[in-house]
Amino acid sequence: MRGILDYLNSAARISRRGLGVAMLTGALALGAVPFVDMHARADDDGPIIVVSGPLSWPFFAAVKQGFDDAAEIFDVDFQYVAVTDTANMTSDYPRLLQQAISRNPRMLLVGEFFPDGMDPLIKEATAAGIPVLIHNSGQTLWEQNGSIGFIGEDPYQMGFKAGQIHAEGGVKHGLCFNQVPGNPTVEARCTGYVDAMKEAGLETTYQTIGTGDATNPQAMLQAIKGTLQANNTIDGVYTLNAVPAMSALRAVQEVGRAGEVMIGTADLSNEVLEAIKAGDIAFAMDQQPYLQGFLSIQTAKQYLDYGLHPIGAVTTGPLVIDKSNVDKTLEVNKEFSGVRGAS
Amino acid sequence: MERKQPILELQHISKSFAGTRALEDVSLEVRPGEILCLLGDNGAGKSTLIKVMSGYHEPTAGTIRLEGDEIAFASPREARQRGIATVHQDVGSIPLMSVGRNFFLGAEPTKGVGPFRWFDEAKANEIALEQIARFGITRISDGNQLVGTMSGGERQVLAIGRAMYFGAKVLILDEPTSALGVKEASVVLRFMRQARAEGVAIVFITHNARHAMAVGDAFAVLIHGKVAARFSRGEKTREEVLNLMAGGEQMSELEEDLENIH
Amino acid sequence: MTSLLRRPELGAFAAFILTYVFFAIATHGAGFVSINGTAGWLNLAAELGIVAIPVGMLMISGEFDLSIGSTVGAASMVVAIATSFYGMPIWPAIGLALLIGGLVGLANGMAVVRTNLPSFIVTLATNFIVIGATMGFSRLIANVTSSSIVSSDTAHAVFAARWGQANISILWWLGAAIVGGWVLSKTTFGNWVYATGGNMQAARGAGVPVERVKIILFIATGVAAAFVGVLQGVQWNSGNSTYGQGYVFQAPIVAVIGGVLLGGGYGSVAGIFLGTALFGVISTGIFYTGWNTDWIQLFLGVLLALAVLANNYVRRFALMARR
Repeated sequence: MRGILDYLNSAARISRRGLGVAMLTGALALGAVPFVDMHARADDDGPIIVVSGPLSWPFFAAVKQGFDDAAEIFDVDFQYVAVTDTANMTSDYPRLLQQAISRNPRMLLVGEFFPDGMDPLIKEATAAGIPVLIHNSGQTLWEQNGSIGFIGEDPYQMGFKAGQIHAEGGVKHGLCFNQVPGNPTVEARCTGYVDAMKEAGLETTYQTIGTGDATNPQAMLQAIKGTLQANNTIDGVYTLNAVPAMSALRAVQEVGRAGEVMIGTADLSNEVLEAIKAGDIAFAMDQQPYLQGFLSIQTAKQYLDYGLHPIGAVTTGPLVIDKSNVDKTLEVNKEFSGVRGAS
Repeated sequence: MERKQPILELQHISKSFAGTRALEDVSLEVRPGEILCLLGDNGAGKSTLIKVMSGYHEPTAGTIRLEGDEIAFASPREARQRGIATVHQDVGSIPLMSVGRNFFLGAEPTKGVGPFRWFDEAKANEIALEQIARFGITRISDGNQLVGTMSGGERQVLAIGRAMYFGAKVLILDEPTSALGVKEASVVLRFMRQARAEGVAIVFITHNARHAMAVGDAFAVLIHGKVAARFSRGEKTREEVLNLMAGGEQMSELEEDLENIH
Repeated sequence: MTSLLRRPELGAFAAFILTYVFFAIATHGAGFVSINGTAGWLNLAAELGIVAIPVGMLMISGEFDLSIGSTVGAASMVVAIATSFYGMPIWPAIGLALLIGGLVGLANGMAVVRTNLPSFIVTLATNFIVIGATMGFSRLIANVTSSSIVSSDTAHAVFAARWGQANISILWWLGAAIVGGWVLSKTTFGNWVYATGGNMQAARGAGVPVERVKIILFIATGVAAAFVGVLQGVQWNSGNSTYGQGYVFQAPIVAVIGGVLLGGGYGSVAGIFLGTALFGVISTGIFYTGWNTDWIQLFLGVLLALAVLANNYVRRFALMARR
């Protein structure tokens, strides 16, 4: 019964806000939205436009959940713009942002995923008086491009923190396993991890896999297993997603080194949380994507109404989840699935 | 020689496509143990005629009789079931499949019962080899050999032999020799004579008068969708036939022109 | 002897032996050839192999199915949402997942047969449609795109049992190879598959129901993909809409390595099996060498090119007349 009610509830939510968004993104994707005005300017009656990540990713679905919940609480309307096809994001995002700016928004909430194409546009928007708030990505850029603030995390710092935890935990040779080589955000986590380990004078190995295997847990298991066999000094594994974390756990068990290899991961899932509870995985790092969305809307509301906003970057992560706080996380993740960005 | 009753008769057949006449008042018949040569240049209406005879097209006007009965084929499959087999020059066989598998395609012999029936490859190979050997192809000794390893003439023989094995009474052969060299063509022509001796009625479509004259019993020349001439073996010389096919123009003149081009 | 040399799987067999020996030497001391190392690459190959066999047979009939990737993920999500969100027992949920896989296959088959559009494009579209629908409905129903699976002992025994480190998926793979191999080489239907891909006009002319042949193969492919989705889901206790995306191209690749002609009409299940095993050895073995893993795809690409060249040679040999 509860299931059906939830279903109806979420269906209603989608139809209320989601439909307009879907139509908007569809129109933008086709390039059908005309340029109303060549010169961008903030319009008091214009919409609040959010340019953020693809909703097919659990992470951004949680960000969106934060936007939605805050919008309801603060009685704000916004339009969510994102790609649906992730094949050409580097060129699609600047185009989406350009189109959003040309619609004279009251405020822009932007995930600055691809600075090369997006930063000049943000400068253009802020110069024209459109208030811009950056979320998720763009930690190092927001102060220069005239944005009012940044809400999110720094992938390098996240990896660095993981390296520090491993070093403190006694790891002598750490493996950073990257299942999506070529993604700069994800690679920055491994760079941070390696730097932190190096700072402590410890050894690291960086491993990637073929691009076709990024979502195949079996392939990741065999890849990590092979590396552990080839390097029997490895006593720490850091993975960048919840799926490879489970593969790493099984690989460690299969090579007979359970309990000798410290496993940590970015992101989380119920399986990872259960493994943390059982002591098989040491920690998971939560970026708290929900907060990135929620705080963005809250800040937008307070800025537009009262001119108030936080000074400096607001970091939402990483929140380290280990044995000490796993129970609460697990409880929330089961009760409010999707809020944590994975389940 | 006493002539048998016609097995397949076309009476006053016309066929139009969207107002264009492809065939006009065509009457022909073919008898068991006879080879009817259908001669004509490209565009004379030969392919349309083949399609009418083999059930792909319904004629716009006229009647078709099979063994004396008026008939309208609902589909090529029905024509085939009634014993009219068409062997096309290019689409007869599947090069990357074995001789035995090609021969029995669509009518595979099986062993076993129910869902556990399987293809009796040994039997298929044996019969296929036996049949093509009967028509003089003895070079192929392994039924598992791929058809792609056979020569063009051998493939034609395989396809025609297959049609005969499955009970064809009328064989429509669409340009079976035109893509072949002299030697290969003679293999096929020899085979056609043999099939005739077994009492099959053959419609031999060709634009090669020499090949037609070598085996034909009756001849029909098709020009612009009409039968321009009909005659029997020995009634006309090769030159006369060539002139007929060229549509009345003197073939010798055309040949002179060709020489001048050189 | 010559008949052995003409078999489509010869190239893959030679490549498999050479590659295996190469890795046995290159990974010396790392345990690649040990029982556990062997179980590792077999586990990887098995899951790919179960779906690669029908995909390869479909390719022999002249068609592609690129929608398998999404069907794997969709099946795992169907089981996950049905069991954890609606509290459905696992077996009906598995039945539902397999049914959906079959329906995706049926839809592909009907679309390809009716429209005569290239299946490469039709199933590429289906691939997007299925993963989009999976994510959309998962989000709508449970607000997730990956979810836990509530399994049972019997389901675990059938889909995730292990002997040592060898998964039961290896047995399923062998079973699929035996059934697929028997159907393709020993039955009338198998003859029709070759004929449909070899020369569709001639096959139709000989009375082969080419449309039915294709639709049946599309359905088998969809069911096999859903089966792998269930297998991965139960094994990892979790459904994920992105499972299987790698198979979209890996499955046709192993079929081609195994001697299946890209344009159809030629190939064998034994070849597909060996091609998959070869893929398993390469993509697992390279990690046991301890080399820089950035090179793995280069390595895979070179081996793929070599295997395809070898196959081309074998096929030319088979077509050489004994004149």
